[in-house]
Amino acid sequence: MKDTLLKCKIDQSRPFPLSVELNCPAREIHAVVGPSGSGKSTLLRSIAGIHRPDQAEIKWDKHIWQQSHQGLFLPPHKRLVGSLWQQYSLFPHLTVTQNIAIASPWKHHRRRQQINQLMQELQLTERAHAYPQALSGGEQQRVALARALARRTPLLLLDEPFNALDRPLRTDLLQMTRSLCQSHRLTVLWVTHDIEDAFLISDRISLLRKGQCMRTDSPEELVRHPHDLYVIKQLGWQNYYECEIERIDHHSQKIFWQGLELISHCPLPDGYRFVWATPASAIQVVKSDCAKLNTFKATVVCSEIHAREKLLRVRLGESELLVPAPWSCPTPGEILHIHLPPEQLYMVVY
Amino acid sequence: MDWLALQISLKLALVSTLILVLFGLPVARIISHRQFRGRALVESLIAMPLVLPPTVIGFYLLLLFNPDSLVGKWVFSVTGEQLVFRFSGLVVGSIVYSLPFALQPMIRAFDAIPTHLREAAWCSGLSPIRTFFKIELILALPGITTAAILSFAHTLGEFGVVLMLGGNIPGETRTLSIAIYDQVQMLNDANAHKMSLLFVLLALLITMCIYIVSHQSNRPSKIV
Repeated sequence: MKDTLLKCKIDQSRPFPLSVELNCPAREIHAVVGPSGSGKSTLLRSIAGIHRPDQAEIKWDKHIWQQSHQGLFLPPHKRLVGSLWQQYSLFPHLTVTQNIAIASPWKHHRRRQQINQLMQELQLTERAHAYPQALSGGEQQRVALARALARRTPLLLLDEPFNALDRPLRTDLLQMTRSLCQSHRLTVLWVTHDIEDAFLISDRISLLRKGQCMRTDSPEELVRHPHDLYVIKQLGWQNYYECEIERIDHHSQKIFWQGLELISHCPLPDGYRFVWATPASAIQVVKSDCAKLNTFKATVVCSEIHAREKLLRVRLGESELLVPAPWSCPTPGEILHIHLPPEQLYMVVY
Repeated sequence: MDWLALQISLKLALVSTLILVLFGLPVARIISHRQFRGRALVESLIAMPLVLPPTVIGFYLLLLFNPDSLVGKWVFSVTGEQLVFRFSGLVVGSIVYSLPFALQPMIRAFDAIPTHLREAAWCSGLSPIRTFFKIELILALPGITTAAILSFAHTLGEFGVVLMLGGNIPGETRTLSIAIYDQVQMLNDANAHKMSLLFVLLALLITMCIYIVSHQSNRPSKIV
């Protein structure tokens, strides 16, 4: 484990409750994901110093940025942090070059060199003398990112970056951001409500709900052990149902659901009421003579597109499940055999 | 044509405008960005000269600056001069009279700068003072220019306050508008005509300036 660089503990009751603890090691890309109103932007604003929570302890390396019980508060311009906010916030009276230069700590020749390099990295060279209002949305975001990087700080904060842009452009910019952050050796804390974006470029993800941090884990770990119904919903899984459990041994349990019996080989978290959950992509459509565990007959209801993937809605017992659409493209009313792999039937506390 | 009166008018307008803009700028910035109790009261006080008849303002200033009043005595003890029937008195009167014309455009100009732009400046490493000079002041410049032009124009045409507070002393307090009034009283219409026409031309020039400034400011200050 690398040394923790950013340590942040926030406790506020007004204007809305927020109680979060967050630690980031050097050069980590850390996403904070949550619905709007979960307090994720406030968290970022507190770290940048443009919001002052009641109680907070925010440290970067050896520098104390805020320590409420000692009354310490470092104003934003003295904090070693570059930031990109949801509104692009470009200065309308300055050109692209001037917008970037204003954040540069260097002077004269060195500043020119730094700005030229940044503009090259972000493909802005051709727009050097344009004013912000003449730029497209994507260009404005790149200028804002260049300005954040020009400050040459080791920490970068991104508040819902590129959200106003369409997905292909957003994906490009996110990947560009990741490679820039890696080449500039930055620690990045970024906020989004879109978990797909977070999965794309994050080392770790913190899930925020109603001002509380529900969980912090790597994307792989989140998918492998969702643990919590909130995580399931955030992951966008739609196959989750309340069920009864009978433990078989340490690693597996029997699931009783709608008169069916399923076997799960996933760990059982502590709790009383359970939900079984599985991503649509885990379910297999199999041949009728398949003898695997957890294989059932299901009726096709309709086909749907979810996250750019074609899925089938099938009826199993009295409930409906989403399964991947096979090549044959079954029509509504057709009978399919589906297999729910026991090692991907996750058990979640309800 | 009373050239001396024109000179007094221009001098009065220039001095009042300079003082109003220089001292009004920080006041407008504070009123715009600070939330404080009694903001409505402060803004109403600033706007009052808009609705008060100039003679009323002049009358109360006359009472206030009277050498026998407390303020008059204090001014006399500090400066060795009295304000009534003096050019300096006219300057003070003009400042009160033109206060809303100077402050309101500047307050509106600062109001129009979104908070997120100031925050972005701080987060780009600019101290609040550098943010003021490099971002806010430049974005508010059209509003400040409008404030200056309006104060200048408004002071130039001032009549009621001047007559009440300054009287009609040639070379000291007789402004162009007073001179016009004098000429009309003396049934000297030709002279009054010349001077009035000058005012009409000045007014046209000034309103044109305001429109040019506002058209220019509409171009680059679209905030992104």
